[in-house]
Amino acid sequence: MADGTIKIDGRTVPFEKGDTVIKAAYKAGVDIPHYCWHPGLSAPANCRMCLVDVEPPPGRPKMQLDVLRWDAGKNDYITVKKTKLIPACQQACSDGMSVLSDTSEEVAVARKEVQELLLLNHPVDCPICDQAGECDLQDYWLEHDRTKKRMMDEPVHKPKAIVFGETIVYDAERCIMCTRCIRVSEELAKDPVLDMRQRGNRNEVFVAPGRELDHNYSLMTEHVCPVGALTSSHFRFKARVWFLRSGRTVCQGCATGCNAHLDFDPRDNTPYRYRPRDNEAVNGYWMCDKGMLSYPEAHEGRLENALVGGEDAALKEALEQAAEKLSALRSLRKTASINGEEGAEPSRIAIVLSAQHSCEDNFALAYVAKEFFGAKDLFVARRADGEADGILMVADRNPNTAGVSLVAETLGFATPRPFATLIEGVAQGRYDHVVSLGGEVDVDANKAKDKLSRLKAFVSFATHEGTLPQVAHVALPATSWAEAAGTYINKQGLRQEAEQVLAPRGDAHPAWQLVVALARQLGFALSWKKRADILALLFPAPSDDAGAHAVSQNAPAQLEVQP
Amino acid sequence: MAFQLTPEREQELAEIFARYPNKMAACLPLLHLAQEQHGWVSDEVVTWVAEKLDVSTAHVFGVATFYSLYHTHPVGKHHVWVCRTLSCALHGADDIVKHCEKRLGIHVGETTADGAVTLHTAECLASCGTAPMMQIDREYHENLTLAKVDVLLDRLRKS
Amino acid sequence: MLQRTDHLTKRYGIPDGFTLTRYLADGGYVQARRALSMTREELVNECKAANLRGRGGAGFPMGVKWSFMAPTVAPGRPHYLVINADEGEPGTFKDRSMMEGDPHATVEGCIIGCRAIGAHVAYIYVRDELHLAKDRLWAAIREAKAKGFLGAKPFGVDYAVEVYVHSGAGAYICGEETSLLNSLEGRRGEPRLKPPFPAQAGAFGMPTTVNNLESIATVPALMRLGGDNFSKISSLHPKEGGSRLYGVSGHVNTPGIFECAVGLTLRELIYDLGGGVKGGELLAVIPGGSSTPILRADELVEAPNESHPLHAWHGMSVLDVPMGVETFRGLGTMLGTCCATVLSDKACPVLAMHNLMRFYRHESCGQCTPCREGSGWLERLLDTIVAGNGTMDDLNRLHEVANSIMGNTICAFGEGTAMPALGFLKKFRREFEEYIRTGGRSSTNRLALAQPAAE
Repeated sequence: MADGTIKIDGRTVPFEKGDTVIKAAYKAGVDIPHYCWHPGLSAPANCRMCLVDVEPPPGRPKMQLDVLRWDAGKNDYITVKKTKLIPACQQACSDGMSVLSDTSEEVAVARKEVQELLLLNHPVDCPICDQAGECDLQDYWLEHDRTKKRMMDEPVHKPKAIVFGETIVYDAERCIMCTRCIRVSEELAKDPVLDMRQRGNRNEVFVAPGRELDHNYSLMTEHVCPVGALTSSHFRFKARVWFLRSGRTVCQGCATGCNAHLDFDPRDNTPYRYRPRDNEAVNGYWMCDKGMLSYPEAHEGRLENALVGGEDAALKEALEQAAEKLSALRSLRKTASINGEEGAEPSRIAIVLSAQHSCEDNFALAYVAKEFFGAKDLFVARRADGEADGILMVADRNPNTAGVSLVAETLGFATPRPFATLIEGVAQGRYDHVVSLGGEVDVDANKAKDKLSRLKAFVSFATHEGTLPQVAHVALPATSWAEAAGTYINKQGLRQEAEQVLAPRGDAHPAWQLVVALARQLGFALSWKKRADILALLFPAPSDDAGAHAVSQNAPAQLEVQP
Repeated sequence: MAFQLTPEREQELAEIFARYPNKMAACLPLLHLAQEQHGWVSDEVVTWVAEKLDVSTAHVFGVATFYSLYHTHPVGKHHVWVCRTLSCALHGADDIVKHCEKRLGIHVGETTADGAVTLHTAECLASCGTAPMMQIDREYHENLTLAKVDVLLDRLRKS
Repeated sequence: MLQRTDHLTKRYGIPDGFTLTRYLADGGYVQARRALSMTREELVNECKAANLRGRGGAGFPMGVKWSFMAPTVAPGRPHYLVINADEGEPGTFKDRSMMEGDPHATVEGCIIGCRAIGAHVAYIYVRDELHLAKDRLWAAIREAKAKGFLGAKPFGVDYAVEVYVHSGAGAYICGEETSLLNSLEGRRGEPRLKPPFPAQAGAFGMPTTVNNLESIATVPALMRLGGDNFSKISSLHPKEGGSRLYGVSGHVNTPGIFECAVGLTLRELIYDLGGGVKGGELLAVIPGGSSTPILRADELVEAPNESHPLHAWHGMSVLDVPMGVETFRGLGTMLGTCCATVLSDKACPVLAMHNLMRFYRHESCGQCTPCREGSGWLERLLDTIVAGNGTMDDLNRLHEVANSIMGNTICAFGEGTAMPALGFLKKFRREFEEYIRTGGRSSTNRLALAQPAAE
C-alpha cells in the first residue's frame, strides 16, 4: 500500500513508509543508476552514482556550493554555484517530494564525474574479465560518461587473483569498494568473514585472517558484485555472457524452491550457471551455494536412454517391455472390474511418486495408478534430508514434497509413505509390482537394490542414473527439470512453474508423457495432450500464487508411441 | 602461537572494558595494549583481540589496517615519525626526512638492519608552532635542527 | 582588535599548572559544583548567552548544539558527551596546548557539559600521538575522582559523571564527528550517513553531543564570568562571543598559541603576536587550518554593496578583517580553527598545494568514490606538475577534479579537500601557469626558507 507519492522527473511514483527514493523508483521500474545500493541490503551511499537533485520544500533555498570554472575569454576563473545533490539511496521519501534524476543537467554531470573517477584506477581489462557484458562499469560508462580516459599515470596497483575460498576469486584492482560483498556476508549469511582493509585509495576487500569465504552464500558475493572484482571459480573463464541465454526456473535443491535463472549456451545445450531470480515472497534476491552449484545436475549423470535389464534400449522397445512386464496388472484389473469387486491383487502393486518430480509427472502416474491399476499404496521417493542453514536452505532437499502430498490428496490417496516402508513391504513379500518415479531414495542403496531385485515387475521413470533405474526391469528416461516445463509446490505451499530451458537429452521425455505412453501401451487411453490438461485436473481454480508465471512457449513435442 | 598478555597488562583489561557499554568499543584500546607488548599487530594479536571482543577477525584486521599507528608487519624497536605536513615543511621537514634516511641508511617505511629503528613520515602531529618536529616513540622532539636530529638518532641506535 | 586575555591560558607555562592543587587555587571546579545544582535549561541558556561558537572549525553555536539533545533522557537511551580532541588539521595545535597545559579545565568542562545535556559519561577522544596530553588528562581525571568531583556522586550530588580518555590510532578523518564515533565504538573511522545526527543517534546509537576540546575547556570560564559577560569580551559580540586560542605557525618569527578576545585580525595575529614574517614578505596565509581556503596578502575586501556584511571593510586588506565565523565566510574562506599558517614569498605555492593534497589523499578514508579517487587524482596531477612535466591541461584538470569532489561526498572531508584546492588555484593561477611553463624554474621550488641546521 502506498503511503504517498513522490515525483521523479515529473513522473508520479508511489512509496511506502521507510522507502528511500531509489527503493520507490526501483519498485516502480524507474531506473536510477547505482553501484553500492542493492534492494536486499543496507545502503552505505558510498558509490555516489545515484546522486539526484531533491527539490527543497517551498520557500526553502537550494543548498549550493561554490566551484570554479575556467573562463578562457576572461583568462580567469569564475565562481559558479553547484547544487548539493543527495544520494537517492539515502534520501527518505516524503509525500509530494520532487526529485530530478535524468532531467537534471547537474545530476548528469555528477554521474559522469563519479563514473570517470570509478574508472580512474580500474585496469579496464574487459577482454579477460568474466563480468564483461554484464558489467555496470561498462553499461554506465556508455550511458553516463563516453569520454576517453584522462588520467594517463600508472594506476594504483593492488592484489589480483586472490582466492577468497573455494568458490570466489578477488581482483582488488577491479574493485570499486561498494561493499556489497561485505554486506552480503554480514547481513544475509550472518557471517562477517569479509571486511575492508587499508584506507583511502589503498582500500581492498579481504577475508578474515584464519578463515576462508566458505559460508553458504559465498556465490551471492559474486552475484551482487556490480563489476568484475569477484568472480566465481565455477564460471571463471568458462563462457562469454553474451552467448548465453537464460530460462526462468526453480531451484531443485530443497523445498524452498528459490526462483532462479538458468543460464545456458544454446549452441551446446549446456547450462553454465544459476542466478537468483528476485522473488520477495520466496527467496528475496538470493540463492544458497548448494542451490547455485546444482545447475550441472541438469546435464550430468543423466539417464539419457531407456534401460531394459540394465542395458541401453530404444524407447519404443522399452515401453513395450514395460507393458509386457506389467501385463499381469492389465489382466488383473480386467478381472477385478468384471467381478465388480476389489481383488486382492491390486494391493500387491506399489506406486512410487517422487518429491523431485513436477506435479504433472506425479499426477500422471498417480492418476494411472488409481484409475487403471487400482493401486492403493503410494510411496514417495525423495532425496534424504540434509542440514538447514536457517536462511534459505531447509532440511528437505526436495523441490516438490508438498506437490506429492497434494497429488495424493486430490486423487483420494492416503499420504504417501516413506520409501523405507516400501522396502520393508517388498522384503515381507507384500508387493511384487512397483512403478516408480524418480531416481534418488532416502534409504541405503545396496539394501534397496537387494530387495527390489526380487520384484516380478519394476518399471522406473527417472531423470538421472541412480538406485531405482539401475535395479528396475525397465527404466524410462525422463527430462530433467531444466528440459521440460513443470509445476512445483514449495514448503510454503506456493505453486511455482519452471520453464523449459534446455532441449531434452537423448531419448528423454517428460515423465508424464512417458506415463501416458505406457498407459496407452497397456490399453488405457488418456486424452492429455499438454501439461495444461493435467494442471486443469490438479488445480481446477485459476491460481495467482506468487512466483507463478506463463508456461514456457517452448514445450517439447508430444511423444507419439503407438501401442 | 596464541597471543597472551603479560599478567600486568591483563589487569588493565577489566578497567578498559568497564569504560564502555559494549565490548567492541575496546577494540582500539586492546590493539594498543597488545601492540605495546608485541611490537606489531600479528595475526595472533588479531585473533586474540577478536576473541576478547567477540567479533570477527575480519573486523579487527580491518580496523587495524585503517589506522596509521597499528603496524601489521614486524617493525623496529623504535619508531621515528617525521612530520611532513605544511607547517613543518615550511621549516624544512623534507630536509629532516632526507637527513634521517641518510643517517639511518634506510628509506622511509624501512627498518634498520639491526631492527632498532623504523623510519616513518607522519601527517600533521599538532606541533606546528614548534616546527620542524619528529616523534620518537612516545616523545615529541620540536624545533629540530639537523644537529639535534643527529643526537636523537645516535641515542636511539645506542639504546 | 588585539586584546590578550587569560581566561583559558592563565596556568600555561607554570611548572605545576596542570595539577589539581593549582587549578583549585585558581577557583577550579567551583563552576562544576554550581552546575550540578542548575537545571539543564539554565546551563544551555548560559552557553547560548555566551555566544560560544564551536572551536573545532565549523563554528556552530555550542548552546544551540546542546539544546538539540532530548530534554528528558528516555529509558534505556543514555546520553553521551564526546569530546573531539583528535586535533589533526594541518596548522592546528591549540587543543594540545590545553590538554597539556590545563587538563582540569577540560575535566571540569566535561562535568558541566554532561549536566547540560543529560549525560553521565564523557569520552575525550584524543589522537594517539599526543601521549603527554593523554597522560595529563588521565592524571587530572584520577585527581578529580580522588577528590570526589567525579564518580557516582560528584560533590556529593546524586548525578554520576565519569570521564574517560579514548585514544585514537592515527587517522585524520576521525576528527570528523561521525568517524570519531565509529572509532570510539571500535570500528574503522569511516564517516556515517547523516541523518541520523549524533543528537538523535550518536555514540553506541544513543543521543550524543560532540564538542571540540577547546569548546568544552572554555565552559568553566564562561560559567565563571557569566555567559553574557563572557560574550562581551569579544569585539564581535553578540554574533560570536568570548576569548579563544589563536595559533600562528609557518614563516613567522614567534609562532605559538595566544589567547585573545574574539575579533582579532590576521594582521595582528601575524605581525603583533607572530612577530612578523620571517625571511621575506608575506605571500599568503591559510587562516584556520589547511581546509580553509588561502588568502593572499595583497587581497582587498570587495564589498561595495552596503548590505554586504563586509561593507565596513570594503577596499581594505583582508588582513584587517576581524576573524569571525561570518566575516571569514564573507571573504570566501572559513575561520576554521583560528590557527593560521603563514607563507612568505620565499615559499612556493605550488609546492604548498602539493603538500596539502598529498595529506588529503593520505587521510581520505576511501569510503566514497569522489573523495577516494578524486584526492588521489589531485595528488597525481600535482606530482606531475611539481616534477616539471605538467601541462595547462593538467592545471585545468585540477579545478575540474576538485569540483567533482565538492558536495558529492558522504562527509565534509570532500569539501575540506576541494575548497583549499580551489583556493590555491584561484589565488595562484598565474604562479601555476608560470611554474608549468618554466618546469618549475619560475619558483623558489622550496617551502622552507633554509635548511633546519642553519636556522
